[in-house]
Amino acid sequence: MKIKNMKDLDKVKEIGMKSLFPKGPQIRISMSTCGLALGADDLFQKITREKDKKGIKISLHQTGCSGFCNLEPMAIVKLPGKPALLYTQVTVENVEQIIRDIKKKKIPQKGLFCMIGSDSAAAKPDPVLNAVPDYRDASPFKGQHRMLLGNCGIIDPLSVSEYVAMAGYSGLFKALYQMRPEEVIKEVVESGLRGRGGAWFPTGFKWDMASKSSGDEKFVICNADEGDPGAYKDRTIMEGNPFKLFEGIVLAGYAIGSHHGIIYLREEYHHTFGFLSNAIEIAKRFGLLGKNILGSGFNFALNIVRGGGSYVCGEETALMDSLEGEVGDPRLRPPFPIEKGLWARPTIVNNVETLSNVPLIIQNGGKWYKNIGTEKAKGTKILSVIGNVKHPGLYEIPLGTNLKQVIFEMAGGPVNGKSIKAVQVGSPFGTFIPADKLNVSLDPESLREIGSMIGSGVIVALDQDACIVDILHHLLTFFVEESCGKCVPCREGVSRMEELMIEIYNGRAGMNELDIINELGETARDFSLCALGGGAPAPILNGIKDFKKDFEAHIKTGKCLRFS
Amino acid sequence: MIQMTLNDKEIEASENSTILEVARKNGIDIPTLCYHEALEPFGVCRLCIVEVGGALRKGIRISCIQNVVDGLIVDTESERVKRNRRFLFELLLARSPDSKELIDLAAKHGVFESRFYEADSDDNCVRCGLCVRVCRDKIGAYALCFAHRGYDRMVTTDFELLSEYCIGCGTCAQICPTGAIKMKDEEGERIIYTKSVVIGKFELETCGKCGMPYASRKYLDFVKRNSDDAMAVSVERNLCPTCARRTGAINLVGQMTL
Repeated sequence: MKIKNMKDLDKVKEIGMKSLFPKGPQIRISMSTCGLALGADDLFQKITREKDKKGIKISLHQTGCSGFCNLEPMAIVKLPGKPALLYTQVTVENVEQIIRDIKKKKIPQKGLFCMIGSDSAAAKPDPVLNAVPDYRDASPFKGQHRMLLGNCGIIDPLSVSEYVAMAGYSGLFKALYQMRPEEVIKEVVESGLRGRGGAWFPTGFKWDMASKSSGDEKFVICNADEGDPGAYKDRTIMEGNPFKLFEGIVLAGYAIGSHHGIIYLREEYHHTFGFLSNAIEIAKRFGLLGKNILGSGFNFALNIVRGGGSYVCGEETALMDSLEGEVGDPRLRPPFPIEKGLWARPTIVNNVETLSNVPLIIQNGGKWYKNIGTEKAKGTKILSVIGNVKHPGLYEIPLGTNLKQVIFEMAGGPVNGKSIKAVQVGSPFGTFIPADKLNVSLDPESLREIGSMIGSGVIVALDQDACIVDILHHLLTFFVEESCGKCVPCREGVSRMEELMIEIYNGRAGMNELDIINELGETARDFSLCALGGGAPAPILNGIKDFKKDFEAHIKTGKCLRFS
Repeated sequence: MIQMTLNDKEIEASENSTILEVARKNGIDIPTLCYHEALEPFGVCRLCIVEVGGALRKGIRISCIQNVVDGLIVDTESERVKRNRRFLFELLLARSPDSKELIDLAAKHGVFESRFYEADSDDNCVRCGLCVRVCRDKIGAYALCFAHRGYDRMVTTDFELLSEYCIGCGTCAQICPTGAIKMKDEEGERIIYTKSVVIGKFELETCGKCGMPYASRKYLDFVKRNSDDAMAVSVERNLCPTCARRTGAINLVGQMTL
C-alpha cells in the first residue's frame, strides 16, 4: 500500500504497534551480517520447525544487530503480559527448551541478559524478573544514549510499519507538508549537526551552499564506504534500521532540491547490499521512495552503487570518480563537490550516521538536538570500541563523554587483569593517547587540543602487551596498501616511511632513521593531496614522540616488546 | 590587475592567473613536473609548493592551482618550502635515479643525492600523468591510463596490451618530462614504449614524393578528421611535412609569377 496522507501513516503505525506488541508470544532473532555469521540462520529455521512441531503459535521476526556482535546470536522473547527479554549467544541446542518454556508460559532462563522496556513489568511482577536488569542498567548498554541505534536490534529492519510505530517518517511527513526546503536547512543549521564521517564539517552549512548552487540536477550521495579498520557503525545502522537512513536521504534531497540519491556501499558488505536493495523495493511499495513521496508530489529516486574495494574511495572526491566509472583518485579542490561534484553537478556527500540524524532533528526540532553534546559538537556519536577491552562493540554516547569512562566503565576495561597502555581514538588517523592522559572529553575540539581526532569514531584500546612499533608498522602497511599513488608525498613518502619502520622493527636501523621518518611524516602531512596522505603521519609522529621506550627496545635489541 | 608581493618584491599581476604563471612571468623559477600550459593543472608532483600569506590564510599552497588575489604575499623559496621540496626531490630521485632530466632539475634546486635506497634504476616515470592527460584531453585517443595503486601505480595501456586506441602520434613521448616514454622510428616502423609496455607499433606511411616513412595511417586519419582543409589536402596527397611545405611554397611562387 502507498502511504499518501496522515490517515495512511496512522494506519501503518497501528499495524506496526500490533506487530511490536502482539497478543501472543513472539521471538525476534538478530539476523544481520554478524548474527548470520554466528548461526542465526540455523536458529531461525530450528525455531520455525520446533514451534510447528509443538503446534504453538509464535510470531517470528528478524531484527538487526544491536552493536555487540560478540554477543550474537541474540534473540528477543516476548511473552504476553511480560516485558520483552533479551537473550544473548543463543544456540540451536537451546531452542527446544525455549519453546517448551514458552508453551508453559514460563520465562526461559538460559542466556537471559536483560529486559527491554520494563514499564509493563510493574503490572505483573515476576520473581524471575526481579534479578534481571533493565537494558538501560545492563552493561554494555548502560550509560549509552541510543538515539540512532535505539531501534537497531529491536524492530524488524524490513518492516516499514514497525519503523513508523517507532515515530519513523513523522519527520519526513512534517518536512514535506509543513516546511519549505529552506526551513529544513535552517533546522539542520540550528541543530549544529556536523559530518560524522571524520571531517566534522557542519552539515547544514554544506546543504545551504549546495541548495544555492545551480545545476540541472543535483545529487545526494550517502557515503557508506565504511573502510576504517574496526568501524561497523554504518553497517549496523543500514542493517538495523535502513528506513531511517532513507528518510534522512530524502530529507537531504528535499532540502537541497535534488531528486536523485546514491548510496555508495562498501564492496565488502555483500549481505548489506542485498538487504538494502530489498529495503529500497519495500520503501518504493509504500510510496516512501520514487514518485510522489508520502503523497506530497516530491519525487526522489535512490540507487545503490557498490565500490570496488578501495579504502581511498571513502574520500568524497575519489568516491565520485569511482561512481563515474573512473579509477577512484581524489580530485583537486576547488571546485568543491557542492559546486561541481558528480558528473559536474552540485553534490552533497554525507555519511550514513550523519544522514540518520536528520529525521530526528526534523521530528524534534534543532533546539532539542542542540541540548545534547558539547558547546561546539552537538548530538551523539557512535563509537566502535575495539581491542583489549571486555565488551567490544558499538557505544552511542553524547559528545563530550569522558574517554576514561567509555573505556573503563562502559567497555569494562582491560581483560585478564592487565592494564591499558594506550588508546587510539579515531583510528587509523588518530593518535595514541597514553594511559595517563585518558581523562579527555570525546569531542573533536578537545581531542584536537591534544593532537588527536575523533574521526569516524573507532577507538582501539591496547593493553600492556602491545608494542607501539608493531602497531605503527601495521598501520603504515595499511596506508601504503591503500594509497592511490596519485601524489608524490603519499605514494613515495609513506612507502619510504614503511620501509624505514620495517628496518627499525627488525633492529637494523637507529635514531637517524627515526629522524628521517619524522621529517618524511611532516612532508607527507603538509603536502599530500588528500586526507589519506595528510592524516597518515599523525599516529606515526605521535607514536614516536610518546612511546620512545618501545622504539629504543627495537633499535637496541631488535626484539618486539609484544613477544618478550 | 591586482597588487601582490612575490619574494619581497611588489608586483602587478593579472587576475585569474595562478601563482606559478605569475612567478614564471616574473622570471622566478618554480620547479614542476606535472604542469603543462596546454593542460588542466593536476597538482600531484607537489614540487611547485610555495608559502603564502597576506590576503590568503598563511600556509602552504600548490602554486599551479592557487590563483593570485589582491594583497597576496608569496614566498617561493622560504626555509619550509626549500626543506620539503628537497625531500620531494630526494623521494623522486630514489625512485628514478637514472633519469637525466630529473637529476638536472634536482641539481638546479640544490639537490644532488638522495638519502633513500635506490629502486630499480630503469624506472624513469614520475607518475606525473602528463602523457595520460594529453592523450585523453587533447588527442582524445584514450590510449594511456594509470593502473594499480599506491607505490605500484604505473602508466600503461588497457590491460597492459598493445593499445588499439593509440594512433601513433608520439605526443606522450614528447611531453614526458623525464624521458620515460620513448618513440623510435626504424625501418619504416614506429614503436612507442615505456619500460614495461609497448604502447603502439605502426607501419609508417611513406611520402608520395620523397619516399621517406613519416606517419602512421591512424595518425593521418586523425589529422584529416580534426584539421582544416589545407592540412587535410597535404594528408590527402600523402606528403611528409618537408615535402608538403616544399610543394606549398612552390605552388605559392607559381601563383605569384602568374
